[in-house]
Amino acid sequence: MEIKESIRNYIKSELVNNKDHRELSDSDQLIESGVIDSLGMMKLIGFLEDNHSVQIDDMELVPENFSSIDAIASLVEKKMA
Amino acid sequence: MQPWENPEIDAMKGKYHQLALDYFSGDFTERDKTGDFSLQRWKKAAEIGLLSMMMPASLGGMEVPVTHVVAAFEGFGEGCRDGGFVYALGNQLCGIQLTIKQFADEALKEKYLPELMNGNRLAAYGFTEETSGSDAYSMQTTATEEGDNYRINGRKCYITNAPYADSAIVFAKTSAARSPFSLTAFLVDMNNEGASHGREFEKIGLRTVRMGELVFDNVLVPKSNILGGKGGGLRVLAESTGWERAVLISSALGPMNRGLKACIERAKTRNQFDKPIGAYQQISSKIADMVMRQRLSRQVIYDLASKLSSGKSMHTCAQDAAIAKLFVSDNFIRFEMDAMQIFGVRGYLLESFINRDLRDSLSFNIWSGTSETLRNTIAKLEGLPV
Repeated sequence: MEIKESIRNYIKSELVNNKDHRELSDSDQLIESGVIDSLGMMKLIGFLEDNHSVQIDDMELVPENFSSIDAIASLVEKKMA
Repeated sequence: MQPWENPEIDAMKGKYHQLALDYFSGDFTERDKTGDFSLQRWKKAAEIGLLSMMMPASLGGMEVPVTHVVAAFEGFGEGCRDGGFVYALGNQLCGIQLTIKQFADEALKEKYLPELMNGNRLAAYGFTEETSGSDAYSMQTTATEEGDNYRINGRKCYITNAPYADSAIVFAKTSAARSPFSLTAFLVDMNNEGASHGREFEKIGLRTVRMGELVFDNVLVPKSNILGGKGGGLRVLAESTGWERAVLISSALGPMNRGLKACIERAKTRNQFDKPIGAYQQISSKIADMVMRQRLSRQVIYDLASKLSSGKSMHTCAQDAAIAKLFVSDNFIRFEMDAMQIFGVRGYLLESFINRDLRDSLSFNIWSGTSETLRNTIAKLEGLPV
């Protein structure tokens, strides 16, 4: 499965609690809209590390890397390169 | 047989049980009454290695598996009847030292960890505030960027070891946004200008470790003292509370082990109406419940410790850690309530360790996430919109 698709599926199935967010686009703002909160952030990191074999460094935990599905996919792709 | 049921782990538990009996035994009634914290005993605990576990060998630490640390705290807690002291040791090891090990740069590690390990420096974990606990976003303490420094203003409340802490990990808002990246963790020396220890709080349990405030009035802290990067505070918090929930929780096992032995002895030897009270089903049922609570608590704690020892990361074990803390805390309190009933008025006397352990146990449903918060966490990690 494509990286972005896998991340999108995970966020929609595990992190989206509000029905208004079910039709997320890849550029939608995840932090500002509250889709990713503190606990969601931890879940997402665990998912990325377990399923995409990457290690997210502490210094990479900045809003720019998690602001959207596009941004998260870009971070993972960069780390896998 | 469970993976953690092996002679090496038993030996670790036995070693620290014996060390506790050799150096930390005695009557704690007076110390419990006066709320006396002993720096001399703290240094002795450091000397026997309790603050060196899971610390980098390059700095003099002992890189032992998590199962062994849990075993050491179980054995030590069984031999040392001073629950406040055992809690304080675990609090510093899990909340402070492991956090510095994971999130500080090399220079900070070299400066702080050896002194924390040898007991010459004591530190506190400054997260909670008067109006902010589980709701981290409502935190009032702020850190404002000023060149190569941050200026911290705020007041931390109900902090373990605060009255005598030399240093503290302090969480502050570095952004007004309600975002997972709005908090930052700093390592702050309490002798910095503007830092002070504030008021102290009396508690009903864990009395031999003191609790108080940490006050920060325009305290200047270098950027190099940030732990986990700017905005990484919640990640730091999740890791450190994870370690507290997974390892510090093992401080419940010692009191349960010795409490169970004492209650069984009491049930066999205390006679009422010409037979031992253990012959009455109301008492034998309590003993059966206590055996179950003690045994299952051990299982939950060692099972998680085995996962962490095998290399699983804390954030992949976040739900397991919440479950362990919640399950053991609830069962510890119920265990101690049953012990009080079995001992009757004898347990109610201040001179009895039974009521001291009960008073200590009540804190377990509060520290590092209340049981209500942990239930929310567990449900939320199952995808519920809590």
